[in-house]
Amino acid sequence: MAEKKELKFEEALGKLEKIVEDLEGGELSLEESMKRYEEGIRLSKLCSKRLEEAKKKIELLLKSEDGKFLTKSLSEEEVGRDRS
Amino acid sequence: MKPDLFTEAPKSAGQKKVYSVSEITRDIQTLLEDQFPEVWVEGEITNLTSSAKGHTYFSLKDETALLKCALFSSSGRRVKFKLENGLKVLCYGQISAYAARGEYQLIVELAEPEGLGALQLAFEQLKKKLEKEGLFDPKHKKPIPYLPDRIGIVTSLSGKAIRDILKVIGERFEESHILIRDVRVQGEGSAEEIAKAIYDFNAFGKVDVLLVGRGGGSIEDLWAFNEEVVARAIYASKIPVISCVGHELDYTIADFVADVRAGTPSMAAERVVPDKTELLETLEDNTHRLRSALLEKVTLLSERLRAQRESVLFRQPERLFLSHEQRLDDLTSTLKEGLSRWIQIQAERIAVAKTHLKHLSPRASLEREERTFLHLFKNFSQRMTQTVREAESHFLIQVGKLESLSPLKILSRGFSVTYGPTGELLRSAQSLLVGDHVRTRLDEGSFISRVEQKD
Repeated sequence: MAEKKELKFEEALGKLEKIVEDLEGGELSLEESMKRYEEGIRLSKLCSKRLEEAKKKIELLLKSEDGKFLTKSLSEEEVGRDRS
Repeated sequence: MKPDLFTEAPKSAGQKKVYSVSEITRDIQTLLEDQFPEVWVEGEITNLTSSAKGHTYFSLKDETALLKCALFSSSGRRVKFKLENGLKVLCYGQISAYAARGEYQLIVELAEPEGLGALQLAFEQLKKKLEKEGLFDPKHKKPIPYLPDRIGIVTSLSGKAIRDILKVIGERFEESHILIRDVRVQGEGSAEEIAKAIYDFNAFGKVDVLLVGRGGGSIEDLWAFNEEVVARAIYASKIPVISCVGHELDYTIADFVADVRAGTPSMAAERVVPDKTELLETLEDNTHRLRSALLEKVTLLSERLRAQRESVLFRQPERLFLSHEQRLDDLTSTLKEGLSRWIQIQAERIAVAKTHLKHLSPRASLEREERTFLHLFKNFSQRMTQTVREAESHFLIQVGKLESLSPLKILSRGFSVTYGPTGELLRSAQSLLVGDHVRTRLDEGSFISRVEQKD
């Protein structure tokens, strides 16, 4: 199951859409239908999880003199204001 | 000839002013520089060479004359386009003498191509060069992720572009993680800063798409995005780049190299994140369709089962009673088992999900959906049981009907049937021989008798 976590959102959504199509086609056996259904629900949850866990964050990427990167949080008020 | 000319012309060495070569050259130099301190000269470039120190030497020619020119590197930096043999140009500068070679030349301070503007020509030249190198080739274009985990932006923190980008991302997918590298987007050195920021993001690595651009302005304002360093940095980027420079009608070199060109910063923001509301709707729609498709499938199967049983019952009643009944039992129990196993699996998954939920963010909606589904399944299961029960009673009625039609029923009215020696039903005595044993069946019980005599 670990490798499934690497599944990109669009891939998961694409697979889900394909499963829905297959199921709606009605050609599958009952057992196969249930298998696909379960896979579909798993993909659907994966997608919802990705959407629900997203967090708003705006940061400035800075580089220190020794070449290390650091980030600094920005509020939206600090952005787009001419500070000259 | 006038005699005074003769008297003045020849002079002895003693009366003459004698220059050294350096002296006369210096005087000529002064004369030339005083006379032509600022001139514009128009001509076609020829004999173009450049030195290791970055100075450029060439001649300007027209139909009948040639003028040597020198463009020293300090002035050369101001010339944005590339000098080429055959190019018609306007050069501005000072006429001077080059003492070491006894030549006079134009010290060029500015050069402009004839016809096109200098920047426009520079743009065309660089575009042609990079195109030839394959930097614009579609085969190098990287796909843009559908839903990026982190978005990198290279622009000025005080510009209008960043405001537009943040606004549009906020409208479409507010919960985005954005990292900004603040750079100057115009003026001396800005191209280098932009290029460096792109390399920095690649070294940093944690973003999966880059927006590079600025708001609208004049061609001079946008110039950094027409510089080769920026084009090279975009081309070298492992992270896909969306360019967004100026307005929709502004095309820069950066736009040609970028994996995707967006007309404006707002359009780039629209391209970089999907609309969350739409996405949620798509997801919900698919999940809903998934469930109804499965329910429909099971309903369809149960109906087909019933239809098949009924048709078999009528077509071949005497043979298929038992096997059919058995099949019905089998299917019913398989279905019941399957459903209860399914419900159990669902229940277990909910239990697992619940413990997860305690640790993770509240995902109440998912759980609710799961419960709704479980409820649906229970309903279905009940409906299925009822369907089977109905089918069973229907089946029993059919059995009763068939029984009343059965020939055996006649026996209860006092009739009997007799079977021959090989067990066949006897309709005629013709085939019987004296001494054959026959079996007679009554309503209750049967007996064997021997044929004594045939009539």
